[in-house]
Amino acid sequence: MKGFSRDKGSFRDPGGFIYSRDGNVYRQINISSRDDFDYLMDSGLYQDLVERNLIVEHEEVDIAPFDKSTSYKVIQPTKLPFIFYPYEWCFSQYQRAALATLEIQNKALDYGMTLKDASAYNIQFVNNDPVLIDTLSFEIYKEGSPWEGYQQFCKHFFAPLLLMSYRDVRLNTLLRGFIDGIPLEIASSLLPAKTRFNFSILAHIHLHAKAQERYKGGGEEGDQVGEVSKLGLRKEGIYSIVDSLERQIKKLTYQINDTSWGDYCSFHNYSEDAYLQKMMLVETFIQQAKPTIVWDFGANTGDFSRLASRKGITTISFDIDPAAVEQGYLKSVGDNDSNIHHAIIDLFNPSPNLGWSNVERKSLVDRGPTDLLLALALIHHLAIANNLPLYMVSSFFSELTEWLVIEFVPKKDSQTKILLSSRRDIFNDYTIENFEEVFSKDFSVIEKAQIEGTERTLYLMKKIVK
Amino acid sequence: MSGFPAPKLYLDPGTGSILIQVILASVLGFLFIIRTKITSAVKWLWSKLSDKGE
Repeated sequence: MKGFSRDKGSFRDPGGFIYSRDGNVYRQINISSRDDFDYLMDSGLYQDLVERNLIVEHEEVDIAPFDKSTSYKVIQPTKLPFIFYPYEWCFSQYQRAALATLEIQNKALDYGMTLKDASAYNIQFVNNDPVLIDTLSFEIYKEGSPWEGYQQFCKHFFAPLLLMSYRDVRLNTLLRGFIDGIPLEIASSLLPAKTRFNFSILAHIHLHAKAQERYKGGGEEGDQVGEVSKLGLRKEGIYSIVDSLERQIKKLTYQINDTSWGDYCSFHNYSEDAYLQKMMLVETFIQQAKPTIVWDFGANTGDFSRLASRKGITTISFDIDPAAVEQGYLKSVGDNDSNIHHAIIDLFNPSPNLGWSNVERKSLVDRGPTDLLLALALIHHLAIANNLPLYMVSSFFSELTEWLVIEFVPKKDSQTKILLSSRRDIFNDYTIENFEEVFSKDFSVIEKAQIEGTERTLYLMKKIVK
Repeated sequence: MSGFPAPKLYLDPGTGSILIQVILASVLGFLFIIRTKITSAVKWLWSKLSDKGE
C-alpha cells in the first residue's frame, strides 16, 4: 500500500499491529480486540496509567487503517525519539522496567483487566521513566484464570535481573541470543546454589523451570493447560505472586568489581581549565550544527551529552561500560533531564538486526541516522586499543551522521601512552596528518581547535554529500 | 461480539507455569494469612505487656 509500512517487529499479537504512514506511527486495533480495548479505555485504567506515567499516551485518529478488513480503530501513540532494547539497558533501567510492569499488572487487576503478555520489549523510557508502549497488552480478567504473562515476565525480567545481580551485570546481553527471554532452565543452572534457599527465586525460577520441564508438550496427555487451569486461581493469588516478585526485585543490587569508566571524571588527564575549555568548544560546535538529535559515542556518564540535552536537543548517550551508564542514568533521573537517554553499546559489537527474518529488532545503524555525532576521547580506543583502521571509523561515522564532533588524541597523550604501554606500536599511520587526510574523504572540516594544555585537537566536521 | 474472535491465548502460558502459579498462590496466600495472624498476635501481646508496665 502506497505510503504505508507495517512494522516488521509487530506481528506476535493478533489483536493489532504498528504501522507507519508519512513518517507518523500508528497502531491498528483489530476487531478481535475491540472488547478489551474498549474496556481499557472506558474502565478508567488507561487514564489512571497515563496519570502515573506508566503507559504511552495515544489519540484515536480518523485515518485509513492498514487493513480495512480487520480494523476496528486506529490510534496514534506519542512518537518516541529512539527505541531501546533490554540488552542495552543498565541495571537500574532493567529493575525499574520490571517494577513498572508489575505495577501495571496490579493496576490492571484493580480495574478487572490483566496483562496478557509481559515482554521487556514493550517497555521504553520516556523522560527516563519506564512506560508500556503496547496498548494492546491488556485483556479482560476472567476469575479463576492464571496470569498468562507470568512465564514471559520471569524469562524477560526476573531471570535477567537475577543473573545481573548474582553473576555479572553484563548478562542482560544474553537477551541478544535469547530474544524471547532467558530460558528458565538456563537461568536456573547459571544462578548460584545459594539462590535455592531464597523462596522467591526457588519458586519463580528453579521450581518453575522444573515444572516447565515436567509438563512440556501436550502429547497424549491432552489439554494440559485446560486441565491445570481447572484448578482455579483466585485474583488474590495473582496479587500475591506479583507482590512476591516485586519484593524480590526491589531487593536486588549489583556489584561492579572492575570498571574502566565508572570513575572517569575523577581520573581523566585534563586540568580543570582544559576540561572547561573542551566543554565550551563542544557547546559552540553543537550550536553551529543546530541538530535536533545528537548521539554521543563513548559518552561515559554523559557530561558532554548534557551540553546538548540541556538545550532541549534529544540526546542519546552511549557507552560500553554498565557502571558509567548506570551513573549517567541515575544522574539524569535525579536532574529530571527529559531530553537525555542512556544505553549500553559496545561499538565493536553494536546491537545487530535480530529476530524473525533479521528485522524484528533493529540494529543500531538502522535506528539512525542522527544529526550530530559526538566522538570525544574515543578515536584512540578504536584505532589503538582495537586495531581499527581510521578509514573504517570515518566510513562508519559517515553512515550515521551529518555532523561530527571528534577529538583526536595523539600518541603523545598520556591516555594513549597507557594503551601503548603493554604492546608494540604498530600504528605508524596514527598521526594527526593522516587522521585529517583519511576523514577528509567523508567529511569537510568546518572548525578545528587545540584544547589548551593538552595535545588533543577538537574538530567540527560536516559530511560530504557524494 | 465481533466476527473475529481473538485466539484465547496468543502466548503459550505453559502448563508448568500455570501449575507453579496455582501452587504459589496457595502457599503465598497461606503465608499471608499466617503473617497477618502472627502480626496481630504480636500486637495484642505487646499492648497487654504495655498495659501491665503502666
